[in-house]
Amino acid sequence: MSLRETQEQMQAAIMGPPVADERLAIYWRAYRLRLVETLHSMFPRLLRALGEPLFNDFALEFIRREPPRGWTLERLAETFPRHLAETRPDEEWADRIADLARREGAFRRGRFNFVSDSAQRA
Amino acid sequence: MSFPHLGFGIGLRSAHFECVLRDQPDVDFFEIISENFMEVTGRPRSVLDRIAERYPIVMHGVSLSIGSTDPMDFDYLRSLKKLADEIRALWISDHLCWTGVGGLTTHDLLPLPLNEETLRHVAGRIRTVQDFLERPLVLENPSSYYRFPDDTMSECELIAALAKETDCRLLLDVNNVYVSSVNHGFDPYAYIATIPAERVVQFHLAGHTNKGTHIIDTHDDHVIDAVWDLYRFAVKHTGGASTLVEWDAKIPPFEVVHAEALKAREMAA
Repeated sequence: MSLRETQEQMQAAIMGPPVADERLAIYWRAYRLRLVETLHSMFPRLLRALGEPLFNDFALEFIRREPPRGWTLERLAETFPRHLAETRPDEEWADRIADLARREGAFRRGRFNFVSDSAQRA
Repeated sequence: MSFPHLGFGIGLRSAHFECVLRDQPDVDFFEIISENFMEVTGRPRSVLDRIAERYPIVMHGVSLSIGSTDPMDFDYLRSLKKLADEIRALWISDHLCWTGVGGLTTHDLLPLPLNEETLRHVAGRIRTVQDFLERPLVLENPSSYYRFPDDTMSECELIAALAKETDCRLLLDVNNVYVSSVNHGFDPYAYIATIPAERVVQFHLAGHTNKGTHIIDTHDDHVIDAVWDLYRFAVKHTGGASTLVEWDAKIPPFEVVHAEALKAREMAA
C-alpha cells in the first residue's frame, strides 16, 4: 500500500465509527477528546447552559459532519455555532442555544484568539 | 544558524503568564507551542513579546504535518516564519508525523509507516521546509501507539537516515522514546544509541500515564525515574543539549515545573 493510501485509510478509521483495534482506538478517542475539550474551553457558557452530556452530543455530531480543516483550531469558534444554527429543530429553546453559541463564538474570536494549552499535546 | 546549549527551560503555558511576568523567574529559556501564537494578536501576543525581550525563545509546532502526502501548506509556513522572525526564535521544531490528509486534519500526531517510501517523502518535505524557512528544521520523535505491519526499519533508523539525507537537527524527546519503547517493545537505550549525537540540539522531558498495557503521553505529571535514567544516558551519548520540561495538562504552580527543570540540570551534571 502506498503512503497516500495508508494515510487515507488510517484517517478514515480515526474519523469513522468506533474501531476494534485497541491501539488505533487510542487515536480514535484522542481525536474526539481533543476537539470536544477545545469546544469546552471556547464555549464555557454554552457548556453550562446545555450541561456536559448534551453539549458533548452536539459536539460529536458536529465533528462527525464537519471534520476539521486547516491547522488552526480557532475556526471552531465560527463553524460550531454555524453547525448548531443549521441543524437546530424549529423550537424556541434551540434558537436561544444557537444564538448563545453564535455570540460566545464571536466574543471569543474577537477577544481571546487563543487555544487552550491542553488542547494540543505535543 | 547556530544551536547553542541554552540550558534548562520550560514550556510556556498561559496558566503561568502572570507568574512569569510578575516574578521574572530565573529560567534559562522558554519554548512556545507555535500555533498558540501564530496569527494571534492582543494579550497573548503582548505577553509573549514581553517574555521574549527577557528570555531566549524556541518554537515547537504541532501542525507542520511533515509526513502528510497532501501538498505543503505554505500559508502555515509563512505564518510560522513570520512569528519566528518577530520574536527572534532560536529555532523551530515539529514532529516526525502527519496530522491529516485530503484537506482534513485530526489535530493529532499520527504515526508514519517506517520504510523507504516514508524516508524519501519526508526527506523531500524537510528540504522544502528548510528552503522556505531559511533555517534547519528541528525534528522530534513523537510518542506512538500504533505500528504498521509492513514496516521495514525502526523509528531511530528512519530518524538517523533523515538526519543524514537532510540538514535537519533533532529534538530527542526522551519521554517519547520511553513511551514508544513500552508500547512497541523495543530497547530505548539502543534507540538513543542509534540517534546521530551531533545532530541533537534539544531534549524534551515530560510525565505520562501508564495504562498497564500501554502508556499514553499525557504531559500531566512529574518525569518518572526510568525516564531520568534514560535522559542521563542521552546526555552522555550526545554531550548534552538544551533541555526542556513540558507540562500540558493538570498544570501545577510554576514553581513545580521550574523544580523539574532544575532537577534536569542536576541530572545532566
